[in-house]
Amino acid sequence: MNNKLTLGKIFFPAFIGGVTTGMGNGSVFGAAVMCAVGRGPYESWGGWGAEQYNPATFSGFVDCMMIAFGVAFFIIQVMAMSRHGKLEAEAVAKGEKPAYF
Amino acid sequence: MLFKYLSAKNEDIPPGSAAIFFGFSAIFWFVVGTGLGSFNAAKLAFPDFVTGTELFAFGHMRQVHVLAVIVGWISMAFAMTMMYMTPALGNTRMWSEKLGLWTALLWNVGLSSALLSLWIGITSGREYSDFAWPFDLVILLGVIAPLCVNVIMTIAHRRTQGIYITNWFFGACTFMVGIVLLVGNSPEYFHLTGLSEAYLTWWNAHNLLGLWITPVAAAIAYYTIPKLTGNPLYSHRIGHMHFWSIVVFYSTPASHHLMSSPLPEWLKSFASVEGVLILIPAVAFVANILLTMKGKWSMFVENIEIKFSVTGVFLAIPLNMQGGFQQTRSINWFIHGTGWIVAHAHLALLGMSTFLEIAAVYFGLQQMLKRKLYSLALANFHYWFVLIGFCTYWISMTIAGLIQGAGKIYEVPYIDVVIAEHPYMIARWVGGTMVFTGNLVWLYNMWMTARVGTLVPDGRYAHELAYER
Repeated sequence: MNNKLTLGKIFFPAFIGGVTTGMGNGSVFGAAVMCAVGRGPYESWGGWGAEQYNPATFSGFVDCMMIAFGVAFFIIQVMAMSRHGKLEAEAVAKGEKPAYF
Repeated sequence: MLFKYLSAKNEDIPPGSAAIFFGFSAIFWFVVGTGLGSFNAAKLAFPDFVTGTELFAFGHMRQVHVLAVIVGWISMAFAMTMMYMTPALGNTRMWSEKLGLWTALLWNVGLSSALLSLWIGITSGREYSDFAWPFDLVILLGVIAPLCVNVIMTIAHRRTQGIYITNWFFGACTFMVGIVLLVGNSPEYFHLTGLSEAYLTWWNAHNLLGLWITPVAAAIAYYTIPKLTGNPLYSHRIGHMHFWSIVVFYSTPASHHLMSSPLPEWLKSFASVEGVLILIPAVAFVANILLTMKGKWSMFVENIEIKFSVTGVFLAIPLNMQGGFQQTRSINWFIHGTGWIVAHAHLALLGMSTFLEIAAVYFGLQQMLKRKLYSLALANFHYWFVLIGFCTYWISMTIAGLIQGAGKIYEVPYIDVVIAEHPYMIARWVGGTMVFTGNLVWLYNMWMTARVGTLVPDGRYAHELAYER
């Protein structure tokens, strides 16, 4: 049996997961990094790679963190689901019914 | 008895020792936690009750109750279930029974010290992570980290082909809650305040529920219901959907706790939509478990563990319906900062989660002790006192919250709202005290089970035997 979890089938679930965890958790981890490296007022917290943190829009460094988190989670999910599909296909090919299905 | 094994070789420690240690510790902390809750509720119902002593002021006592219940009862009950379910599902022993015993000991000592410090007023002032940061580190490194290592290593050394959904949750949640505590408490370690601190505080609080309390409770039900009924889980695939949708939809909407804060509007709107999407894992879980009960509904009446478990699953329905919609802007505008939220928090912690854990502790302690429950009558007393007590609490606080919300919106004088709420505060105290009383009876019942419960022969389950009393 072939791997049923092709990229075409898993792209959108992984994309939704990437967007949601990117926005929800990337913003949190961005704020945590700012806690770790930042001192003093937001305007001079000393972040890198983007415009300064603006509490009215949350843009700037946190944007980069959200994109990085989203892309990372998307890749993790694509890899995990592809591997799952491969293992499942191998088990079915050997005549072993995958456990718990 | 168990202390002698702390210095024994791992191979010489009987399997289940750590589970027994955790199980009785959990029940003890449940009695303490609900006792404190009853005391605090009495102070709200009867303002002249115990006054003049700063240590017994509501502001000193409230968070001691909250953390005794979360870190003591709920989390230790989770550790207890992990100590017997994880090896059972992997057809192996716990990776290190000795590490489990030491974790239980350190957990009790650390929690006692942390609660004492909280009681005398040493606090970070951040809700749900009120402990001062050294205690946060003790909980992270001395409790959660060794538990995580033990659970994941047990799963890694399993002698089964796949990993059952319960162990998916156990392994992932012990890891994720460590990350939550590490990142969520970072403002304390780095002494930062302001909006970022508020966001991290509520991400921490949100995910203590979202990545620890509710998913581990659900994982427990995935074990207890099939085990006790003898029915296979309705669908392992739906279980997978539950797992992944928890990770994606439940971990993210922290800012829906801060709908009135100056966080960016797009972030709050995003969180609100994510909050509604939590209904996906919720419906998956409830449907999966209730369909697993097919043909075995008579056990809901006859079997005490099923009675508690299924009640917990039923309570997950209003919990998630409330949780999904109360954080949308219009409803949140009305109920934010009122007793409704207190009622909802108790629906999660004392309702859904606690009922599932009680069932697992009843089942697990009988299995590990190899003794049949001492008294079914006392267990039924426990069930009804906890259920009626909880419902009294939940309904009265929900009504009180709606009164407060109306008072807030229509600018009713505050003292008039306080007077209008008074009967519901008394009902809250009555409900909480019933739960406390039920738990005292439970502690006695389990203690007597350990001492004089009928011995269960090897290879049999306690629930297969008839009661002798």
